[in-house]
Parts: sequence; structure tokens; C-alpha cells
Amino acid sequence: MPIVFEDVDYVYDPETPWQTTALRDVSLRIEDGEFVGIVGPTGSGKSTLVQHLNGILKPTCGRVRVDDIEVGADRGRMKELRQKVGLVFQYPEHQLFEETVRDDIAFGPKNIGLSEDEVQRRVRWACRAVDLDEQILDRSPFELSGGQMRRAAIAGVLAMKCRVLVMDEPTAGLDPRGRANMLDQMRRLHSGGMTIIMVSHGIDDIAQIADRVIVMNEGSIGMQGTTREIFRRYEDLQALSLQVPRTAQIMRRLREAGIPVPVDVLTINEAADALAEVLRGKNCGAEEHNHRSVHSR
Amino acid sequence: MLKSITIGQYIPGESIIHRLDPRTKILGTLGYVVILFVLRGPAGYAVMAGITAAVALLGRIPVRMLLRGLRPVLIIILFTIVLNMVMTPGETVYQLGPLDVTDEGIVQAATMSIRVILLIMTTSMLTLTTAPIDLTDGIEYLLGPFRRLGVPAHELAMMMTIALRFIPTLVDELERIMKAQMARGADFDTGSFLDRAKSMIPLLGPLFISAFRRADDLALAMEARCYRGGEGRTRYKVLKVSTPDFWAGAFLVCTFGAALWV
Ligand SMILES: Nc1ncnc2c1ncn2[C@@H]1O[C@H](COP(=O)(O)OP(=O)(O)OP(=O)(O)O)[C@@H](O)[C@H]1O
Ligand SMILES: [Mg+2]
Repeated sequence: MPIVFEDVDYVYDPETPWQTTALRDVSLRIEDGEFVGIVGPTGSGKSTLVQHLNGILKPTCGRVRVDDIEVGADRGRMKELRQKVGLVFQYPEHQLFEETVRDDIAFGPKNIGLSEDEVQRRVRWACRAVDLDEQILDRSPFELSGGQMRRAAIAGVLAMKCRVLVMDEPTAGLDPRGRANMLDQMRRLHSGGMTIIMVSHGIDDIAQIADRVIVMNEGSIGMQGTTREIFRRYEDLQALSLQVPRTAQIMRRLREAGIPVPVDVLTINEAADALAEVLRGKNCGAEEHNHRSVHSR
Repeated sequence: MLKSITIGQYIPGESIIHRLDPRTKILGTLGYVVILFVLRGPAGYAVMAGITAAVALLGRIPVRMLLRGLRPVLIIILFTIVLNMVMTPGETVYQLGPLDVTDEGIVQAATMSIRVILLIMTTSMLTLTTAPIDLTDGIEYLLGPFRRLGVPAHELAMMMTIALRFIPTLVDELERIMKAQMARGADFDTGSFLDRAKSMIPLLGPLFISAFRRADDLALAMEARCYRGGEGRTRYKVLKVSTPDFWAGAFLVCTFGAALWV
């Protein structure tokens, strides 16, 4: 069942000098099994938006519904909601506290009252899902490297076996390999049927992995649509000081140089295919032209 | 909930009160507190309340902010009221089971609670209108004469600056950790007292860790900028007493006198 926002406003510290309206009139719908990317400049309300998904924040105005649970109204069902929607915060490693990684990952499952057996099963499952070596389960979480800590923290949320996984900048501060790993894991979870919502400044990551993109701007939804639709709108994105994926940028440059390539490519593989297509076309038609355009680069 | 801590919070502003020398404000507040506790009689309290109101008006401090500061001590105030009402010997005006509410008790309860309320309001006004840096500069200066007695004035002031500076940061941090643990099904509002005390562990652990990390970073950052204590340190902002400070001082001396007199 879907997640629905209807005209949601959110105000931090209402009626104080620090009052900030972080969300304005946000309406959206996320279907089961979707992979949604949320992008937008700093301070545009992305984190605020996703914290509504599991009832950590309650809308100041408007309604948020997850399945049949109304966030804010159904106070008694918050625990149920948090079992449905797992939220990984920005820098989740700051939430680690237990003596061992194992206990830390088990914190969530224990809170929802599972048996010890089931808890341990989930710990191992979550550990595998984030590619964490089982050997470190008995080490202190504070002896891990930053990337391992991040993974342990994410495992702590995964272990709740939620149907919806929300991640706020899961790849920030990871090295390229850690980043690629993280994306792979998300892809795997998604193909296992999980609904995934990912906030990221990494346009390239989003382009590779999301089905649909929501662009936030100053607390409102600036644009939303399929990934390809959104990243085709170069000028609109630039107006929000956002960029199109690197591959699309390169394709644009090629196009400006007179090479007839499509500009709405999202991944390196697509770009390679598109280029191969163009080159093949040239080969059997305009040998001469091809030569020139390659040189002019 | 956490945001209701107004002590140590500063609302930037341009009012006369904001621009007063911090030393004037500190001494004024000190004087106010002393007077508040030696005072007898309702008229005096009226004068003191008047002073608080005047400062709040001149400082353009939202009433809401002042009331907000009272929220955390509400229990203490209620406790004071009840205790004073039933424990003060005197003429019984109302029988409450085995306890007697006395005439004197009511008066005592009223004065005590007004005292606490004014005390909290006025001291939080000091921090609401004075930037932490100015505040500690003022304290350092005022403690200066005691340095010869071995009081580490600069170090105390620096510690205070840092503590004040980090209260809101730690409150934010705590809120963030709380949210993260709530997302993992932690429950802070229900259960027995023991349950709730236990549920603090997942909060305090990460909070302390991040506080220590911050402290480390801060120490490093200060050393990297050649901080080595107060010796020979010059100031970017030199404290200066100006005309409004004289007026404020005169006003306070007069009103304090009046409060004691009436
Ligand atoms: N705990 C808070 N208290 C008060 N204001 C807040 C709080 N958290 C966020 N805000 C404000 O709400 C607005 C939206 O913040 P939010 O964290 O949702 O942005 P974001 O899009 O996630 O930014 P970033 O990309 O930097 O993470 C900002 O103006 C911010 O200052
Ligand atoms: Mg954010």
C-alpha cells in the first residue's frame, strides 16, 4: 500500500524567534516497490520530509498516510509504523552505543519484542545484507572504520526487516568503492521487493539507481517524475543549482560539438551504447564526417 | 520539549538592553537577586516585578520566551507553594485533611513563588540579551580582582563560554540521537520509572561520545590557532562603559532602594 502526503506543511519551533517553515504544501505518492530518489539543495527540506515517513516528525498541517496508518493521528500505532518504515538518518554511525556490534544491531529487533533466536538470525542477515564481516560482530562499534560503522548502523535499521527503507544520504563520506557497494546493496534489497527512498546529493548515484526522482526546493516539491524525465531538464535543474548526471553532461557537450547523441542518458553503460550506436551509424554512412568530428574533439 | 531550555539561549537584537555593557547587566542581575532575597513585604515585590517588566519591554523580549523558561521549574514552584502553605505555623484558614493551610502560609507561599519566578525570568533575561562571548568577557573582567587570591578568572570564563556555547548544540544532538533510536523502536515515554531510566542509555552513550569528540576537536582547533590561556591575550572587542550604562546603573540603584524602602 502506498505512502501518501497531502498538502503537508512542517514548521520547526513554531511561535518562537527561530520559527522555520521547512515544508510547504508537499503532496506526493509513493507506490509499493518503487525506488524513489530525493534531491535538492542544502536546506530544501529533504531530511524533514523523510522524517515524516516513520512518524518521527508529525505534519504541522496536512496529512501523511503510510498504508492505513495516519502519521500524527494514530498515536497508538507508531511502533507498528516504525516496523514498516526503517529510517537511516544522515550520519547513522552517531547512533551506535552498545558494547558490541552484535548488540547494537540487535537493539531494534529487541525493541519490537522478537525472540532471541529470531534476533540473532536477523543480526546475521542484516550483517550479510550490508556486506559486513561477521567477525567484527563481537568487536566494539567504536573500533571500526568509518565505513564499517556506517554499515553497522544501517544493519541496525535493516534488522527490523521493514518493508520500506528510507535512507538519508547513505553514501555521504564513503570512498568510491564503499559507495558502489552501498548502491549494490540497495539494488539487491530493492529487487527483493523493498520500497526504497533515498536522499542524496550524489546525482550520479540517483541517476543509476532510482526509478523516480523528487526534486525539493525551498520546502516545496520543485519537480517530480521518472528519473529520465527529470534529468532531461537541464536548465530547470541548473536554476536550482543542481546538475544533470556526469554522463548526461558529457553527452550534452558532444551534442554541442555536433555529434548527434541523445542527451538523456543516465548511466555509463547507456552512454557507451549510445556512442557505439552513433559510431556504427557513421561507419556505414559518412566515413568522412566521422573522421572530422572525432578530430574536432 | 528540549527546546524549552532558555537558560543560555541568546536572541540577537539591537535594543538598549542588548547594547548595555555586559558588566552592567551582570552586576545589575546580581544586585537584583540579592535584593530579591532580603526583601520583605508585597510592595517591594511589586517594584521588583516592575523592573523585570521594564527590562523585558526595553529589551523587546517576547513574553513567550520568558514564560517558556519557567516551564522546567514549574514543578519546583508548585512544590514550594504547597510546602509553604501547609508547613508555615499560623492561623488556620483551611483544613486539608491532617494538614492546616495557614494564613501566614499563604503569604509565604506567594512570596516564595514570586521570588522564584522573578529570579528565573531575570536571570534568563541576562542570557537572552547578552551574547555568550560578551557575558563571559564581563565575568572575566569582574573576576579579575580575585585573581590574586588564586581564582583562575580567564580559565573560568573560557570554560563558561564553551559550556554556554555547547548547550544548544548538545540539545540538538540529543534530539537527533533520540530520533535515530526512536526509528529503531526505542520508546522513551512509556513504561515504569526503571524502564525509562534504562531507555536513557541509548541516548546518553552516543551523546557523551559525541561530546568528547567535540571537545577533542575544539581543543585541537584552539591549539591550531595558538590559544594558550589568557596571558597576554588581546581582545577583539574591548568592553566600554558608556552613557546608557550610567543611566541603567542609576535606574537600578534608585529602584532597588525603592524596593527596600516600601
Ligand atoms: N531540528 C531543527 N530545528 C530547527 N530547524 C531545523 C531543524 N532541522 C532542520 N531545520 C531547518 O529546516 C530547513 C530544512 O532542513 P532539512 O534538514 O530538511 O534540509 P535538507 O534538505 O535535508 O538539507 P541537507 O541537504 O543539508 O541535509 C532548514 O532551513 C533547516 O535550517
Ligand atoms: Mg538533510
